[in-house]
Amino acid sequence: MYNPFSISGKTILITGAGSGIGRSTAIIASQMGATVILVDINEEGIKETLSRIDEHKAGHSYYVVDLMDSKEVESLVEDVVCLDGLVNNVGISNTRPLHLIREEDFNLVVGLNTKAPMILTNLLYKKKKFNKGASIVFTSSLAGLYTFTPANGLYSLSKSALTSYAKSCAVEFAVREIRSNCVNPSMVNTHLKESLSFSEDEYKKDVEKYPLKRYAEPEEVAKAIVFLLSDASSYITGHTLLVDGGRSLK
Amino acid sequence: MEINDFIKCVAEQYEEVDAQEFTPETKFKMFEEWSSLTSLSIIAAVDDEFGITLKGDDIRNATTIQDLFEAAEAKA
Amino acid sequence: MNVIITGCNRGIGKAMVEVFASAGYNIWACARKATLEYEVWLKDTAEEAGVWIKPIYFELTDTEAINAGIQTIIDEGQSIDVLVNNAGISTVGLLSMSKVEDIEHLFAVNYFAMLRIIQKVSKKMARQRKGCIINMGSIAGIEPQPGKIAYGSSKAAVMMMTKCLAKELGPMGIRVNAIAPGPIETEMIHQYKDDMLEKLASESSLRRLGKKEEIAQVALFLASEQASYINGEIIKVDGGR
Repeated sequence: MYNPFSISGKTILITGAGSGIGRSTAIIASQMGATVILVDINEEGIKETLSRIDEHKAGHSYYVVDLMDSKEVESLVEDVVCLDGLVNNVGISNTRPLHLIREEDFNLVVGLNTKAPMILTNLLYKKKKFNKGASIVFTSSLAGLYTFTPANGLYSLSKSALTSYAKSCAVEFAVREIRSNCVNPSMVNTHLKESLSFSEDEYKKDVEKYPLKRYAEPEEVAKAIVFLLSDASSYITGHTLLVDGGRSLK
Repeated sequence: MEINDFIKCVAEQYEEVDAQEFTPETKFKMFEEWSSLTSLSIIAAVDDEFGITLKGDDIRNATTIQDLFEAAEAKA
Repeated sequence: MNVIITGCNRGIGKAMVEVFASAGYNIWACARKATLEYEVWLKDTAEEAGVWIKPIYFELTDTEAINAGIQTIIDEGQSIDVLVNNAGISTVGLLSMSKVEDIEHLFAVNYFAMLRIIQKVSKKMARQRKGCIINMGSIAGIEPQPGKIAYGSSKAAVMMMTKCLAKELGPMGIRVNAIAPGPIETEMIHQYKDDMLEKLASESSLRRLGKKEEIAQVALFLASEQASYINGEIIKVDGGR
């Protein structure tokens, strides 16, 4: 059967693969035929993801890595095989009003959301760990691009910087035919649980802002990521793919 | 953690209401300027000041500052 | 799954027919007029893929013909899962050298014909509580260029229509998105000289023109369940500009 979305035979590294969108991406990528390399700081989470991947398809592997630790990142890059795809998915949220942001918040959020993907990607490129035609995907956000909501300033800043970095990758890495794109989701049903203060009323009011009248499931973001990893998107690079049910239109 | 310090910490998150108005019995969500941003400010400020992490539910379940103080104390 | 595709007799539309048929879609393949070559090709493509493909004919400037053509499809009583508004024309001309009548004609084809088709098809999709509409925009509707006043404005209008409709039709379970291709290798682009084609290729990060299939596959993605949360999005397929 003709399937341009297949990523069969590709090797894909996914960060933040121990939960949420990263976990869904790992599951769907493996279903679409890829060999996946899972990276997360949380070993239990990775093992849970692995257990949901079809066991019969061998070759999947994982690394327990703190992506904020440059030594650990260096040894990951040293050890890892050449990649056809990289999903920079790791991220952390933060809901402090601007005037209450501490330097440590900045260092953590920008460190993990912006700096860590940049260091990892740059190093993989430098060490020639991307195969020709590889695809890099960043899990960015609608925040900082289209939506600016209260107490989300630090997160927005880190993600808009990430979006900008993804576009720079598209420009610079094209000489090796490497593509680089972002997916920019709005609220995903995983984030909701983490969210500090969201009452049922607030949820109902917020979801009204979405033309599709619901939040995304992590799988729906993962499927967009897998599309960008596939050859069906071979002429798409430097794009910010909104996966937002139409939220940005408001 | 003293109730008076706690009240001061909460009061500082309001722009329009005079700090003198706040007592343990104050229904802190009744002010016109109350919003989710005020709520998040209180959570962050209590964390900074007392090292206690309140949750959205703690704010939702509290009516007076005394309620919130007790929720915070339970986590101390 | 059943799809209506317009402008099927050449270029990207032709690639769309091949890609959608290969993926198992039945197709109402719309074009301006019947030719033997076109019908034979549709028949062969359908047989090879094991789907049905029906030719539908109308001129995009002929309101009655459009209505009649779409009505024929609706009267079949089958579900219309996807509508791909691909048909369009391209012109280049500086303002000083353009006749407003020609620009009106361009808008009639690129914008108003599309709007008319959507108006009819979306009513049917709303009754189904399900549907997906994909409109062909263009990088020319995002990046301003001298000489593209007519074409660029018509495509900008198409993309704004897409976003408005995404909001309007989203609550009915209809997703509306657009594709904004950069320069693509088609019969149409060979109106340019070789040095111009080289320049166009060099403007993309990937240093090449796009292929027709690369647009068709993005349409197939938007049509699929894989894109279930993508609504009101304009996907740039331009090799990075």
